[in-house]
Amino acid sequence: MSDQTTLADALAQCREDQVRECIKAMVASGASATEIITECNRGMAALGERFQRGECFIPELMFGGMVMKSIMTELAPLLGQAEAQRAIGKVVIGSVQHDVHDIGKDIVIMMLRGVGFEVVDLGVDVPPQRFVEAIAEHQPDVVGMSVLLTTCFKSVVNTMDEIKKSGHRDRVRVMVGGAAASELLKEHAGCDFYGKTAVDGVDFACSVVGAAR
Amino acid sequence: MNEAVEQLYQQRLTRYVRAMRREKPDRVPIRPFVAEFTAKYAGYTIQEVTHDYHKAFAAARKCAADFDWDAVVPNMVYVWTGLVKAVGIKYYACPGIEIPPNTPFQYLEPPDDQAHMRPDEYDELIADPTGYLYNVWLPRVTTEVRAQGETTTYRNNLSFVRGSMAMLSYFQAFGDQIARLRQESGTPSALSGILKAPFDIIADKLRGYRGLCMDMFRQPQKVLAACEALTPHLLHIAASGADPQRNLPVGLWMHRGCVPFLSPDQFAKFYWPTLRQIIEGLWARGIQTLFYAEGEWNANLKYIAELPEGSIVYHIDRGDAFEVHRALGGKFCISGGVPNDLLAFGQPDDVKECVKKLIQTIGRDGGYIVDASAIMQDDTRVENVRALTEAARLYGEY
Amino acid sequence: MPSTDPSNQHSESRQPIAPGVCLPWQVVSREWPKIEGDADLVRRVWEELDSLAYTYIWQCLLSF
Repeated sequence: MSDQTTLADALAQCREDQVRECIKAMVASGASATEIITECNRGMAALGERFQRGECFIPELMFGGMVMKSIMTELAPLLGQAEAQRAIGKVVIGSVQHDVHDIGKDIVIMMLRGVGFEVVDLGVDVPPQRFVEAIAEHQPDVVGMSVLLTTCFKSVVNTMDEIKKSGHRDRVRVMVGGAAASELLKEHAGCDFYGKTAVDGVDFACSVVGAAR
Repeated sequence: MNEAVEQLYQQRLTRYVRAMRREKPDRVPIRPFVAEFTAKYAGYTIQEVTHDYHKAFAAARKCAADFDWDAVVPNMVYVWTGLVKAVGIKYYACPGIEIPPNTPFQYLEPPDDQAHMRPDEYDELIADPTGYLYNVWLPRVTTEVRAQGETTTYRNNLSFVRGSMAMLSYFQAFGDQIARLRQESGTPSALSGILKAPFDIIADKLRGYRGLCMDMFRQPQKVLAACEALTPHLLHIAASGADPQRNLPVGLWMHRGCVPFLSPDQFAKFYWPTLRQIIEGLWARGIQTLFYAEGEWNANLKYIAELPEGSIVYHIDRGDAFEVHRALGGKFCISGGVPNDLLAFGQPDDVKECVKKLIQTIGRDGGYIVDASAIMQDDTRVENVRALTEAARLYGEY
Repeated sequence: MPSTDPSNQHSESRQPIAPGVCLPWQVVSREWPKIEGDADLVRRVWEELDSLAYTYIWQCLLSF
């Protein structure tokens, strides 16, 4: 391993062995779990930038996210209560009713967690009422809806209608993404943002809470 | 035999086949991939056409009889969920069972740690793919089949009898369906046989897309060897289902090969070499492949352009149709290109305008077939399908 | 998962099993008495029917 390679670089380049070596070296030199995670988050952000520039694609985002997830699991016991990171904001997210696809949603979640959001994952096939309950319970800054199927278009509209009826609409910003989503759908349903890619969604969430990605 | 109907059949078949050979027929053929749309048009629920193939066949025949189409797929609602439940297959959400009755079936990818194939099982798959499928894969993907070494059960035994008898009855019924389409409405079948890319089989049915993403980084050589091990089998199945007359193409349904699921480099390394080998192997037997490019494929056009001239019919989904025509129009017939959101949310006049433009540009010199971009589900408006058909007839004369 | 059923050991020859075959004739014919009359007919019918088992699993994988 080259001395110049940082943990963030190694993660952004999807070099798993180097990631492991960097973490070992950081632990040996007395770095705290929080410092390691901060460095990983920088790597995930850089990976997102590579994706936006068309230098890498979903497999890299997926790989980075999975490596990050395993690092977080390993470091969890080392993170003291006081050391636990303060989230930069909260997102409630799910695939809309009758849509059971989760890959796109899960990538957004990994990226959001990577930049420091607390994410409440409602899973797939989420009924409109469940979104409303989660908004009331968790009071998120942002709500994300994922929709892969054009036939589930109506579920996006119904979810927005339920959120409006519940009186929570003004408290949250709502983004929609996924293969079936479009500007047309966003306008039609009354969402705040349409994200073509996972990184667009993360950028939007960051802008809502006034954080830089 | 009704001679007028048979004449119509021959006329349509000639038109369709000549276009696929990149010739200029009398007019541009229409070959719409209508799936759950047929239910909506013929007055069935989604559950009916998905779970009872007799109804799916009837719906397809009604569409063929009512619309002036040159070729149709005998049943585009391709997964018969009756068989899925007879075998006990777990990876589909079926209308009226796991999802509401009027929702099209969906594929369920298991969580990473419950993938149908584990990351350390590549060698076993590679050594004997058929044995692996029977001994390891089938027990994992079904509720009924017991794994090797487990005590066998009544339900295990029933699953094989029910499943194989169901499959036999389904496939045999296709023969009758094709004959009825010919005799009743003079409509040729659009395809014969099935093909999937080795990489897609691993991504969709074995490791899962997530698992395969990890494997591409952690054990790339195993992924490549598995693609190679599947190749002769997928070629064999495709060739054995192909049209003996060599008129109709084999349907190649692709999924994870396009951007952004794979980078163009990953496509070139993992997806393309073995798929190319299969397409060329079929072409060597005189069999064309319907290259159903679901998603955005334009980043990979340079690879596709390397295929032997005429070996595929390239079907456009999200890629820019005019760019596809520039890159591939000199070598292959092109089909599709009418956006599905236009057919779902647009107005008939806009659909007509779109069809007109496609015919007058990429269809100008022949070698073009009118169709939607992706398979038409129940969100497609009937008046827009009528508009597509009318416009193809109005502007499609050569 | 190791195969425990001896009939699954037909890959012992290290030759990949050809497409269209589940249980090769060479394996099954060893278990039978010596065939009298038209041995080729018996082999052909075995192979035709064995290929249906092959079609079953590969079509489960591809079409369903």
